[in-house]
Amino acid sequence: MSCDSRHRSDHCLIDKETAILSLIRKRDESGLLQLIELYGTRVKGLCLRILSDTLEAESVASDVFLEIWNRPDCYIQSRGSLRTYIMTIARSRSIDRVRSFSARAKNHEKFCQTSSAGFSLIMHTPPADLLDNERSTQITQAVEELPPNQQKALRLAFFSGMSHRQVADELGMPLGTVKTHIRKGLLRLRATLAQRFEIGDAT
Amino acid sequence: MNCERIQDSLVQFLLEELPHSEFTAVKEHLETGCCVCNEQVRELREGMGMLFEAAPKEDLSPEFVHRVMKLASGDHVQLVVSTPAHSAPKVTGAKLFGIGIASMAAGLAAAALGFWLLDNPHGPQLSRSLDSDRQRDNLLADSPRATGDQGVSSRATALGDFLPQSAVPSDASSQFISARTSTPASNLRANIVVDLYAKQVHFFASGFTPPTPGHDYVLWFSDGQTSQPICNLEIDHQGACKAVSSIPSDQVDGFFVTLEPEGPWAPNPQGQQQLSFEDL
Repeated sequence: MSCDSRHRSDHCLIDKETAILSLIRKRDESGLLQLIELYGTRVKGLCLRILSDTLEAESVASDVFLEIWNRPDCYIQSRGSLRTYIMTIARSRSIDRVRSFSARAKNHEKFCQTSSAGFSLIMHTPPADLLDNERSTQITQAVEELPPNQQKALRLAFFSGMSHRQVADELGMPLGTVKTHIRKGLLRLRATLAQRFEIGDAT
Repeated sequence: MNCERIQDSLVQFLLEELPHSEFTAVKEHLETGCCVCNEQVRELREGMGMLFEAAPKEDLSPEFVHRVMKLASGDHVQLVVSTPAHSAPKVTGAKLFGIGIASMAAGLAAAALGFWLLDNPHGPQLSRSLDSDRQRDNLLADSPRATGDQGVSSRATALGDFLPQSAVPSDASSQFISARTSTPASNLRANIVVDLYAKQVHFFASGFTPPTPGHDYVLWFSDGQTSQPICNLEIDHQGACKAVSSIPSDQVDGFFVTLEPEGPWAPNPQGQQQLSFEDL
C-alpha cells in the first residue's frame, strides 16, 4: 500500500466518522451499527487488554457505544477524531470497571506475563482488514522506536489502564518523570508518524 | 498555573485523570486561548489517536451488536400477567427502576398465576447466563408448585444463577411471580420473586458498580398510589445483594418494586434507574 492511499484513507475515515455522527444525531440506528463495525473490535480489544475478561470487556464496550449513541453532542470534532474520543472513553470506562471489581491485581499479573514478549500490541487482526493492519503495524513500529522508558510508560498508561501515579509506582520513577515520558512519547510518536505520512505524500 | 505546568498535566487532562481543581485550572487556561498549550493539546490528541490505532483487536461475539442495538432502540420486553384461564391479560412495560407488574385479575386466592415475557422478535439475549436458568426452570416446572399451573411456562418461573435455593419458599402452595430484569448500559441484573401466599418479595441482584461498602440501596414498594421503603439492601463486595421483605399492602394489583440508589426520600423514591426486561 502506498502512503498516498494511506493518506487518502485518513480523509475517508474522517468523512466516514462525520457521516456516522450525523446519522447518530438524527437517531438513525444505522449510524450506531456503522460505528460498531468501524471500531467495535478495537474498542473491545482495548477493554479486554485492561479488564482481562471477555464478558466484562463486551459489557464495557457496549456501554461505550451506547454513550456515544445517547450523548453524541459530547463529542466535539474540532478537538480530535472520533476514534480518539471513543478509545479514550473505552479506556476510562474499563478502568472504572477494574476499580469496581478489584481486578487490577489479576490484570497486572497478566500484563507482567505478556510484557516480556516485547511491545506486541497487535494481538488479533481480521485478515480482511489489511489496510488497517498495515497502518497498525506502522504505528507499532514507531512505538518500538521510542526510548524504552517512554514505551513502558505509554504501554502501562494506555493499554494496562494505569493512572500516571500507578505507572510511576510501577516503574519506580517520580510522577513528574512519568508525566514527561508519556507526554514526550506521544508527541514524538505523532511527529514520527506525521513525518512518514507526509514523506509518503511527497513521493 | 503557568504554561509549563499546564503542559505537564495535559495528558492527564485529556485522560480525565486530574483532580477536579486541577482539571478546572487546565480547562480555564485552555479557554483563554493560549496558542502554545492549545497546539500541544491538538498534537497530544493526534498522538493518542495514533497510539490507540495500535490497540489490539478482538472479535465481537455474535450477540454483541444485537444487544447494543436493542438497548439503543429502547426495545423493552414487556411483561404479561394473566390468570390460568388466560383471561384478558394486561400488558405493561418496565417503568422506573424495577418491575412493573400488570393488573392481576385474580387475587391472592387464585389457584395459580402465569406470566410470559413476551418474546423479543430478535431472539434471546444473554444466552450464556440463561442456559443454567433454563435447566433450573425445568426443575421448577416439575415441582408441585409449578405443575398444574396451566398458564405457567417453564420460562415463567426462571430464577437467576445467583438465586440461592434455600431462599426459595418451600411451601408448595405458595404462588410465585418472578422476573428477571437488567439495566441498559450496565451489568446490573435482578430477579424478583413475589410470593403471594406468604406476601413476601424476594429480591436478588448482582452487578452493582461500584460495590462500595456502605453504599446501600433502598427497596421500595408501590401499589401505584403510594410508595414506602420496605428494606435496605446491603451490597456485598462482589456487587450483589439479596433481601426478603413482607409486602406492606394487601393491594398487589399493579404494584412496583423500585430500587433507589440513595435514600430513602419519602414519600417517593428518587434517583431510580430504568430497567428493561430481557427476554428469557
